[in-house]
Amino acid sequence: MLWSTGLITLGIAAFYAIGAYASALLVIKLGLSFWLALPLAVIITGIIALVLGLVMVRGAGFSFIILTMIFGIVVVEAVGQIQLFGGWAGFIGIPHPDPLPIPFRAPIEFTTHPPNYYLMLFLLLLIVLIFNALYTSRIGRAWKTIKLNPHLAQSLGINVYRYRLLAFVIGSSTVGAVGSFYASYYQSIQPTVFGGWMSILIQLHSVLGGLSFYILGPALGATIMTFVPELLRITSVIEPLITGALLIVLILFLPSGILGAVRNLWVERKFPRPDTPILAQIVGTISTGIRNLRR
Amino acid sequence: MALLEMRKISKYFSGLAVISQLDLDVFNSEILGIIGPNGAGKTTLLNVIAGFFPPTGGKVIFNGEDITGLRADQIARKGIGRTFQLATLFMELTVFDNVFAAFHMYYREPGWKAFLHTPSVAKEEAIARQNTMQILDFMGLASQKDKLAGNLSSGYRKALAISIAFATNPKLLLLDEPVTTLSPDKVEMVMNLVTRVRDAGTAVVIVEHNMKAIMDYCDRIVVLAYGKKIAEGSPQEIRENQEVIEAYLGAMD
Repeated sequence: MLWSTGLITLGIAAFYAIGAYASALLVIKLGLSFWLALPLAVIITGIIALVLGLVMVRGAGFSFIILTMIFGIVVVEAVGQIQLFGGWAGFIGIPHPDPLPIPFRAPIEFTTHPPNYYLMLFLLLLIVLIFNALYTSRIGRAWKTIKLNPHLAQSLGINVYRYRLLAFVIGSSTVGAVGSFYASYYQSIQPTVFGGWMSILIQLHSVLGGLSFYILGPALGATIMTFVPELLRITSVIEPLITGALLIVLILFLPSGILGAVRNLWVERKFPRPDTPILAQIVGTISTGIRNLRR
Repeated sequence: MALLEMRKISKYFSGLAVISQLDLDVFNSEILGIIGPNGAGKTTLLNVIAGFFPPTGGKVIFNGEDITGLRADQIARKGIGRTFQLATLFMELTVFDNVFAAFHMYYREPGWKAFLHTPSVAKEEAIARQNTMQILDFMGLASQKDKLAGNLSSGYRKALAISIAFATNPKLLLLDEPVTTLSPDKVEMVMNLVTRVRDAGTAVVIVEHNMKAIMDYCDRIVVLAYGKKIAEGSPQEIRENQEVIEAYLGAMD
């Protein structure tokens, strides 16, 4: 989301953690249902992102990258040190979502894999729908112009700061929603999971897939980064080594990502630039869902 | 009354005066040329008017309203459009999308309706698309509309930069070197566009090194040297002004 406004963040995992912990605390300490904790976790993540963003987004560029990275470290440390948040041991025994009553049938239980899978899929489709609506509106167009040239965008009357802040808040609270699901799906959370490495991995997905493809790019990147290491798992010792080498080669030779390379091929063959078909976006989203279950 | 009045404008960069105590007026429906040797403060002057640098001292009054110290996007909303040196465009967008993006200020429907893609928003955007086409026609860019801006030739790039700024519907348009690096026939094409913009009711300020373009097309000329105004008048008067000749020739010895 933030890539689309030309900001680079290394603190995504922090908001993932905030969403997961907010949700876990609400469910365990206050006894709220997951269905209430999820939207509340989104709102809490959003408010924290807003307050932080008011300060951090001002210094776009390098200072923003560093500030988000520091924030990521601070969150992990804070959660680990404070007993209310479960300390370094984290929380275990976070309940699954309450059964969902539906008319004329037995309520849907969320104790097995398939219902959780469909819940994640539903969440992803919702997120894709929201992002698609944003990107195709004048808000998305403003984000794009800011990324391409902030000065020119400003000369068109676009408030660069406010649009970047909006992207920061929406992006962060979306990550918070996924974090909330993560907590209830795995039933346990530890602060060390949400370290800087996770932030970098998430960004890698976007870079690998293609940065100018806001929805499809990360989806493809995530799919590859899930399945390629699995396929290479001949010996677990050298697997990360091969994956790393592959990543370096891919990013060196395909700097605009896999989808960017595909698009460049099209352009070279004098075809008109293809619009991303909605069907392909859905396929990409489903594969991300599968990935989340396999983890 | 002048459209833009600058009073005692100064701009310092780390103690160094780039512009000092400058008075400048821009009137409705004129093309005002700003010339001067390198480092005279011409581009800085445009950046001060457009709000990219706040002035260190002085007042900027636009349309009777004090706009001193406003942010660039706020000044754009007041009705001042601008282009940048080297034809700054959204290179990865098509020509059409470049101009369409400039309609950002035109939308009246609130953002949440834009997010929901309501019919009223669709109607508004359809009108913006029509207006985009009209501007491309007006600027002679209609045949290029599906090309990426980055693939345009230099003449079309400059024309597109002016089209983007013009699409914000400004009362005053600031052009930073609109014909520098262009061949003579392209200079004529771009300056004819500038004249059309002026005739459509927009005042234009041009910073430019190409003397022929300035002398042939400007209604009035202001000469800057070392951040000060050394002459002002019609092209004819400037051509015969002894101080101007010295400022240019003196720089050569």
